[in-house]
Amino acid sequence: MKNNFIFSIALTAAIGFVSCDRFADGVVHEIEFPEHTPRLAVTVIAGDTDNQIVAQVTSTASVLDAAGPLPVDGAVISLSLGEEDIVYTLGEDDFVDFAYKLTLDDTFGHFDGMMTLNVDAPGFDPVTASNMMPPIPEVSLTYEYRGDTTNSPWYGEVIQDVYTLDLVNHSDVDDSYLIYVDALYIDAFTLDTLGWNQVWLRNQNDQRITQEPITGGLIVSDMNASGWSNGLEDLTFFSKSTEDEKGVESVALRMRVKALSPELAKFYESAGDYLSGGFDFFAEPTLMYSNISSGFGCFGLSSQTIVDIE
Amino acid sequence: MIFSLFKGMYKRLFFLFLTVQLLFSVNSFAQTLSGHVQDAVSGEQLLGATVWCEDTKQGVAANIYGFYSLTLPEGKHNIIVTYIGYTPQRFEIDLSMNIKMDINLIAGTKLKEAVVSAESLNKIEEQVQMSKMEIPIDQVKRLPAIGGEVDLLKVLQLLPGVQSGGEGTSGLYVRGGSPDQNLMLLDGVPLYSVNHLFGFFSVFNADAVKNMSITKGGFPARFGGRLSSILEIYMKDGHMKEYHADATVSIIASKLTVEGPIVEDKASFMLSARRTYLDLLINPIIAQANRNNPDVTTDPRYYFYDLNGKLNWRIGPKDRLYLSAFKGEDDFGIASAENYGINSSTLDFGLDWKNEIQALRWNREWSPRLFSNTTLTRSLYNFNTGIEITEQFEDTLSMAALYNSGIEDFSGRIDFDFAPNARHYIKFGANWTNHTFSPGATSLELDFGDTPALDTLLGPADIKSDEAFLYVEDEFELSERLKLNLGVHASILMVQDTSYNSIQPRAALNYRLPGGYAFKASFARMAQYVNLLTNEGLGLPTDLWVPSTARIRPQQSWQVAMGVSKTFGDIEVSLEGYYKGMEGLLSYKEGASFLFSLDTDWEDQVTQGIGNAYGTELLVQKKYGRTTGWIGYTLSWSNRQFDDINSGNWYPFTYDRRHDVSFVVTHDFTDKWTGSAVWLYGTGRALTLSESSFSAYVPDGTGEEIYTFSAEVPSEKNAFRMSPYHRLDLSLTRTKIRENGTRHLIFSVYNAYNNLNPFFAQTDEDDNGNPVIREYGIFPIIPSIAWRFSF
Repeated sequence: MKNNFIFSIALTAAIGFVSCDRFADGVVHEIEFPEHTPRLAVTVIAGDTDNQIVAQVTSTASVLDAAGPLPVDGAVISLSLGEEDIVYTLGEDDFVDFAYKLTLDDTFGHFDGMMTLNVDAPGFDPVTASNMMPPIPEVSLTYEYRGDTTNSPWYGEVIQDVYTLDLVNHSDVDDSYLIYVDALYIDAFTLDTLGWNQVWLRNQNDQRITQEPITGGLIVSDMNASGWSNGLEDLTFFSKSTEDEKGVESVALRMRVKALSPELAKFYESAGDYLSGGFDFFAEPTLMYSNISSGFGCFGLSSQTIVDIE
Repeated sequence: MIFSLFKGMYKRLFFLFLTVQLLFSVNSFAQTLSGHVQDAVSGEQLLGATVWCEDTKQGVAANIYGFYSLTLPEGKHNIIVTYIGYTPQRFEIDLSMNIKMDINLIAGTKLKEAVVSAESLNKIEEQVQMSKMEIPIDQVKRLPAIGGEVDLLKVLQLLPGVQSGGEGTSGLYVRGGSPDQNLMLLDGVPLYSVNHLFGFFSVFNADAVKNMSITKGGFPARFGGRLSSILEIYMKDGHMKEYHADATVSIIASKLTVEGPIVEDKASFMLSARRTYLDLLINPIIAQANRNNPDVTTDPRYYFYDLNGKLNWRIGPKDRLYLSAFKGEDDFGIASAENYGINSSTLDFGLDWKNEIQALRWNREWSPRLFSNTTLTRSLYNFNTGIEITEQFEDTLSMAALYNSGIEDFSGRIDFDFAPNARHYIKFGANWTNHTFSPGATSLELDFGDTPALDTLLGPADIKSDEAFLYVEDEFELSERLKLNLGVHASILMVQDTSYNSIQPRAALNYRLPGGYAFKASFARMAQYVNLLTNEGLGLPTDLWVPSTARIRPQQSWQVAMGVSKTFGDIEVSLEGYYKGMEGLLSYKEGASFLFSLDTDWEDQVTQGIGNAYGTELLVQKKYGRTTGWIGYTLSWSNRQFDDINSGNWYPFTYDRRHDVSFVVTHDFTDKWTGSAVWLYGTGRALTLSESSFSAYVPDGTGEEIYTFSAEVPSEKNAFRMSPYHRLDLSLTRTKIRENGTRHLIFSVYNAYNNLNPFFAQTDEDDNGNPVIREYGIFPIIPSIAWRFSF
């Protein structure tokens, strides 16, 4: 019995020792990837009140490419109404800071009808996308200064302003809106205008409203997670009441309501999921939405209404 | 409420039952032989033992409580009773009246010496039930085990149609289903999490178990509530005559099982406990390391334990009472502290999960032909993870966050076995379960010194639901060649002012072909009202049990299976093909996580879809003789489709496995030496990898600047495959029988030829600094020894 036991221990230890070498490395093998063919990835997001058009054109890169995706210069980007009536064109001269930027004399403008994006770049197959600018939002807003209190996990009891919004719910389309509130600050001593600062908005248990994690706005949709259509009336959300800090005074509030095309709304949603999921070890992988013919990027249009808050 | 909703259906079922009663009303020329089949020494009930009349060629299998009822024509009959591992008992009986007889079988013939009656109902071609498999616990204990710790679920993974989730894990993926689609019953009570040590071991302690079976399809009407399989595990009842103990010491854990009579032949008990001791072994080493650097200390901890207990009381000749309980818990954590003069900081991270069940069962023999079992049960699963941080500078700042989820069930059930004659065996019953789901709440405690302290609970509220079902089934012979099992299972769920109901027909047939072959076919429709949300990329116990709700519809499936089977000598061969369609499957959306943002409901994070699974399974099994074991092969496909995943396209399920092969053999070299070997091969696991990346932007909140980011593009969902998996495990056991007990020295080797199987894949860098994606394995060859002593 004793000999058997000693033999067993010795054999166990010997095999365990032999196994340590492979255990330390642990690599089974490298996974073979098919060769990657670079394609164009294009993002153009434009609003009717914008005074600049930004087009980002990059090449896709294999995940095994250490350099990652690179900007593509020499591209020609055209925006046309329908398929032939070119409205704007961006080219090599507009290539600044890894993107194409065209400053406009006036605003982008509101266009009815389908707009088409065409991008041609040397060495790549051309890509295209279409999008329709949504109608200018019709907004009815009720504002209640210091109209509510809540208990914040971080700040205890907080006094907050209440915004109640009615938006038009078009029966034949999926309506989505991106909402921001800005406060105008001045220097209390010199009375110099310091500029508009974005106010953080908060939703409270309304499935039609979600936080947009990249820009801090709120996205309002007439479709909830189950795909059921909801009305867009009595949308209520909150902000912490603006408080004058030392030497700074808030003198005005405004609300910016951007109507998003359905494609742009999906792009915002997937970008938010992608970027917030990247920090969560437990998150499922996200596929970024695209309406570009290559499958990468987005051509999205919006129209904006600004409401001064009394 | 339940019965008002069931009203129409209930009436129809009652009418059906009444009709059946009239049709099979007691034959005045027939008498009934009934009783229990039990171990002659311990009094343990032998479920599944067959009682066979050689003259009429009719027989019956004892039910899960060992009760049998065989109605035969008046007169003398030769009866033979058989059970695997026991000496068959043959006797003549004069049935001039109903006779109650408990039959005692003597163990000790072991599998190798068993004589199998040619007429035994145990033969695979005689059984109507298809897609069901049983492995004797005695055989399970002789198979190789990682770390010397026998694991019942890992043995089940060696059967065709049953797959593991990954290297070392205990999860079961049955015929393309997910783990939540398996109903795991311990003494008839559902267990919601069966994992210890992040899934490397299951909660089932083999020393406390007497019987285990898995049903993958052709579900009889008495089962419901899950789509893919029914796993039934029964604890030992406890020795009725003598005290016995069984102790095992392995490199992972030690366990002790004690059983014996409370009142001889009247009442018995069984207690079993198991605990790991890695924490006890490494604590002195960590303490020494902390003493060397007292300003920075780290204290990791991990252990699991489980307790099984059972009381068995024969109240009278017709009544028996059983009280079963189980508790298992895992505790993982790490605590660290740093001291810098008057300043200090501490961090304590914890992850723990536990299961508890209790069951009270009352068996009653109302007549020789009518038996009932009434059960009251409670089942609890709880998962907690949390972190507590304290910083001591000028003020004391502290933050504690605890995430908690769980499910608690209270259930009542009654089942009847009614044997009107030897050609019919009817089962009917009802069940009611109250579920309370806690789908993930976060408790926050904050104290920032100069700001008000916070103590709040965030997250979704508990959800309560009631689930009920009725069933009736009849197994009967239509002719000498054709046996049928027909039944219906009707269930209802009431949740959030919504109700779902489901009528589920069940059918199975066995048609004897010339040459001793049996053709079998089955159809089963199933519904499932509880769902497990799990991250497919992780093996962590982040499982979140959620109910079907007003927004989340139940999972449903239908499965059809066909096959042939035959016994060649002492080798059983079975070939089955199946197709399973599934709908209402639940999955996280892309980007979703179990760590829900505080203002987001879990229902917003999930999506529902459909799936299918189909394949062929071959099993060649030798149950008797010095050499036993089986060869299993599965060729299968399993696919999923969700509108919100993979752009709405169909994709292979993560555990879609084209080929799955297992060889399992146990051989008794001598009375002292027993060896066993397991070899398995499986197609590599499907996985999604990022293939490429691109840049994009969104305007910032002001609209004046842009925010650029790089996004990785995943492949089509599960478009890649890991390398195939294959492994050989060996075991050698030396047994010494002494006057004071029996000793076993068990030497086993996991992964004997040291094949490093893929466990996960990740982006890495090669020697030149270029990105590569590598598969990593974590289990090389692992030898182990265990010592077992029983008296």
